Amino acid sequence: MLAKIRSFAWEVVGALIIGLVAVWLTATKGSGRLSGWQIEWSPRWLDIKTFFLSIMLEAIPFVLLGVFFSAFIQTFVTEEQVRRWTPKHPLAALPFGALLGFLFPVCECAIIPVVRRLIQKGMPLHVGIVFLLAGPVVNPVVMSSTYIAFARQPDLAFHRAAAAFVVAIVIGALVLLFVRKNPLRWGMEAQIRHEAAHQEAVRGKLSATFSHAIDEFFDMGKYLLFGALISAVLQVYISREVMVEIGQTPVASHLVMMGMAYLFSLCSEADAFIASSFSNTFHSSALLAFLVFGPMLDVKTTLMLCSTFRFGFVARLVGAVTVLVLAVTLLWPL
Amino acid sequence: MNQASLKRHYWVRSLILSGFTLLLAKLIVTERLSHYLAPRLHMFSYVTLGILILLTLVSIRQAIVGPPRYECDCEDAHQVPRSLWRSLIVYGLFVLPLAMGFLMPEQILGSDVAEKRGVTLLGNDVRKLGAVAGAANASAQGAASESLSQSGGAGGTAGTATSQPSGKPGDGARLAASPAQTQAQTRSAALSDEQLRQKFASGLGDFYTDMAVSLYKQPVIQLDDKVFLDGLTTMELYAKEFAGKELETLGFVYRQPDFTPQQFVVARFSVTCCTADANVFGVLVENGQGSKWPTDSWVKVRGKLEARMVDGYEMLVLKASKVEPVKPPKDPYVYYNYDTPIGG
Repeated sequence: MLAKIRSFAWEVVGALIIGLVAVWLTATKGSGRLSGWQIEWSPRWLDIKTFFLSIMLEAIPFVLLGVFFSAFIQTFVTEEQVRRWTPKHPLAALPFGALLGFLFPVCECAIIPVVRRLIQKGMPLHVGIVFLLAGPVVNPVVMSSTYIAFARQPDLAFHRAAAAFVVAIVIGALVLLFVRKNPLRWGMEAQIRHEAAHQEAVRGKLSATFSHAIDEFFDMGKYLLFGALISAVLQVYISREVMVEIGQTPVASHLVMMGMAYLFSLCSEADAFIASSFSNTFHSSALLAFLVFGPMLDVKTTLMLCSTFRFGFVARLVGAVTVLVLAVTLLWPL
Repeated sequence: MNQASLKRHYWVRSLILSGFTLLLAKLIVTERLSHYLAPRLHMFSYVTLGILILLTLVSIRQAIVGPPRYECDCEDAHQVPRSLWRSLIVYGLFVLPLAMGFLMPEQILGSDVAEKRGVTLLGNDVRKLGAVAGAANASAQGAASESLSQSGGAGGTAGTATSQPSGKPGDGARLAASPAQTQAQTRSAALSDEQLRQKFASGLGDFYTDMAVSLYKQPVIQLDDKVFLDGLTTMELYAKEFAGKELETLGFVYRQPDFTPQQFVVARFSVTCCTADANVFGVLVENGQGSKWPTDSWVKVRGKLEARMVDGYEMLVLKASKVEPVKPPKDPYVYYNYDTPIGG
């Protein structure tokens, strides 16, 4: 069933891309030789290009960082070590996962390959998920950038970390209680076994690390690029004023800010600066929702999660995180 | 998956990787990287370029030598798209940014985006900063704000004294220091550094005091790229003091439907990490021939700052005496000095 949906989704995506290309080609006016390219581009397309490339150029170094970091874990950290470091008691392991960001300050693009590797190395799933959600918020780099962006209310940086901590731990507990089936994507285990086999066959060989980096670059890259493209198009066509008009009641304003965080797909290091530009329009608890939700989930990372986890699991995770962030930030004493 | 088709995939990948390498190299060589990333992220891009070159080489090697012949039982785990249809989509996604990067001209962000984002004019956020700092310094400023309310009406806003006893903490301190200050703009040149520092003393930290003093000392304030954001913030904090000063700055022309024909905004985009997080800041300019300058064109303006009451607080408007068209600067975006105590 899911496989069918997925293949259907692929076809839709393909048709969309071809349609877009067709529109793009026909919408361009004027003519010129290839050398001249005297085509008049619609300024909106040029803006989309600017946003698309800038999100991509910003994210690629961090994706590569994550890829190499995961290769590093693969080579130098043994499964035994991961098991020994992770607290035995499942409840003690939850805060451990949430605070792991202090050890590995990675942003949300880099964290997915790292978590995948750690789970493969024997880290319990719920701890991995807690790290996945909390890591990009509860880490010194992101906290200090939030602190700088909100010079007027510096305590928001701590509220942000604390709220993300709470949400991640609750989600981790839910995963611990309810997820029985292995959520890793079909074929993922085979791939992991395969990678491990390669690593063992050629352990210590740099070229193996690099060829896996290429695999992972293309694997993560397609989701990253697709997410960046959607985000770029939306940023050009959706005006903030419309968002502000929708977000009049507290719940609506939280949902609007979360929706924006999801669609904009900003790096968790930079999103605080965007959030602070809304500080005149929205109450700070709505900003908190933006700050907590964005790094946990956005278009780009949702698609990247699909490269690692089953579609059904990702869908449920997105649902649970959305509801929880909304509830927690609405009730958060600010 | 047979060997030959796997090799084809590796070739396609090599081409795409070399495309990314070339695109990044092109942006770096032509110094266009700042159209996409803030300078503090450029270092990452240089490293990325090195890694991409390495990956391209490894990938080409893979394509020539073929996939490594390991003894493993995982033939189908190799991450290459299986059907032709899927390959087209996946590789199309990678080719798209390359095509855009190489074929589409560069365009710096302009009014279209500014309209979607909303422009922060001189005087929006900054009041809040004042209010917060004012509350924190309430005790220290107690006496000063008392004298403020007594001397009520000395300055334009002092009389309106909104909900806060002192809307801007600077007001109180300044008025206490020299009550007749507002009328003394012309004599300012004679003030020594120390006096100036006193004039701009406030609870907002030395940064803004230093900034205000250095701006104020200039006969014509040069709001250039380096100080654009911080300077704008500073002048907003001390709107009253800066009223009447001459200012020169440049930016692109932005208009809103409710503007009069004489009005336009000289705006800049501020970028924190990547262009997608850009925010718009600007100064409202009034000029008799304002309608002459097309939206999105870059202009250099020079004129006198004038304080005006908008919604019960003071806002600076630039009465431009001179407007001239200029070329957009090489790096069209402006940045906060990262160690400053304020952002966005």
